[in-house]
Amino acid sequence: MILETVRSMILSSEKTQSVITHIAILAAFSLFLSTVEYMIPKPFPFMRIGLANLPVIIGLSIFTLPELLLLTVLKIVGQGLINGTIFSYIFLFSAGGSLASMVMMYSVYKLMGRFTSFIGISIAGAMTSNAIQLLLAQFILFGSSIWIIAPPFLLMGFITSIFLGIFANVFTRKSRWYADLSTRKKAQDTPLRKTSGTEGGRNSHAEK
Amino acid sequence: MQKSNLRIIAGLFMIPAFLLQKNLILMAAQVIFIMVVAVIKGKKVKPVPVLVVLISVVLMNLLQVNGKVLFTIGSFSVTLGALKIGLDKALTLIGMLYVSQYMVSGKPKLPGRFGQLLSKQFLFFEHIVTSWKRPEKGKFIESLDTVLEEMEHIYPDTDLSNGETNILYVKKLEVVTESFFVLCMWVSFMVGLLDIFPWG
Repeated sequence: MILETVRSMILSSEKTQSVITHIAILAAFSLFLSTVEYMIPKPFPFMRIGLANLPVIIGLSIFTLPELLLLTVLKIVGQGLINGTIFSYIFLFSAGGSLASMVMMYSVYKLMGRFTSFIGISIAGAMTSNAIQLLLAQFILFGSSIWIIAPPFLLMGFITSIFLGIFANVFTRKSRWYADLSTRKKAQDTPLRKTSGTEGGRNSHAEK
Repeated sequence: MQKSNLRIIAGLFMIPAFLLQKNLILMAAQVIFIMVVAVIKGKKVKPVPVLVVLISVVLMNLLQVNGKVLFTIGSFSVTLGALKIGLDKALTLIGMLYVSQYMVSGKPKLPGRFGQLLSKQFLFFEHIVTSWKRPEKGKFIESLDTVLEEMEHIYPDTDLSNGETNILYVKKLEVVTESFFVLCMWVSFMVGLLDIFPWG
């Protein structure tokens, strides 16, 4: 169902071109952040700050689930191509972590968007991504010894996700581009969808 | 055949020869070979991350006692089975990483609308990289805004149905070279089947 919507979104020419362009911009932004992160020295190559997840967090208040899925897939494939990991196990880690984290962040945003800021959403996403990556690492690489490094790995993810959440909060509050995009998206959506209570905290984070 | 797809196909032929390799010495040789190929094709090999992955994966696997005890360090026993499993996993990870690097070194273009969308993403990415300037202190978001807004104005909602341009086709010599690389991987696999090397 979701995949069908993504497919039709890519195929349709006029109506969704604007959305597609914004998705491509955020996906490119994600690649840029991933390159920035690549340049930051880390003690272990698999240790990640998760800067590239920022566009997905920002996208939560702008895009629908199929649109977010497309953004996440573009992010994963783009990173895989740029880093040359698309045909390696690392791609599996990236895909598993990113998709699970996106679904978790979307769920938290929709269900508890009114009660939590981007910091809480970012923590939920990072913990999910890290848990999936640890599970994959257990089965593919390290075996059960992986759980020895799980506490520092999760702690690191927890700390960096707080910073990422704070940055997302500041960005959505200060950015002209984001404000403009939200307004346009709202105007576009109004005749199509009736906003209800289940819409969670759509755009409420920008005001926090 | 398009030039960008040749290395993808060659890489796909290399993968089984690498993954089916049972001998660790030949597997290490295959890893070194594929690293050399990746360097020939313009990719960089960074020894430090490779060593970190190798050591960390092997060490983590050594924690699970398995098979004959080789030696002990205090109460910690290093076992042959765990060492072999660790080396196998670490070499597979590193090898696949460089096979992947080799496969994308021809800058492949994915087919269809999704491929075009990816091209659009890379067009935007290139714009961010080239136009990004070090922001003034405390003006990071403003700088980011400028780049994001620029992209919308420079590249308005272009249709994804534009045809592909600059398609380069494969030359015979390139086919021969890539086939040679594939052949080397398969010869190494065949030698592994002969059981003449230890650590099989």
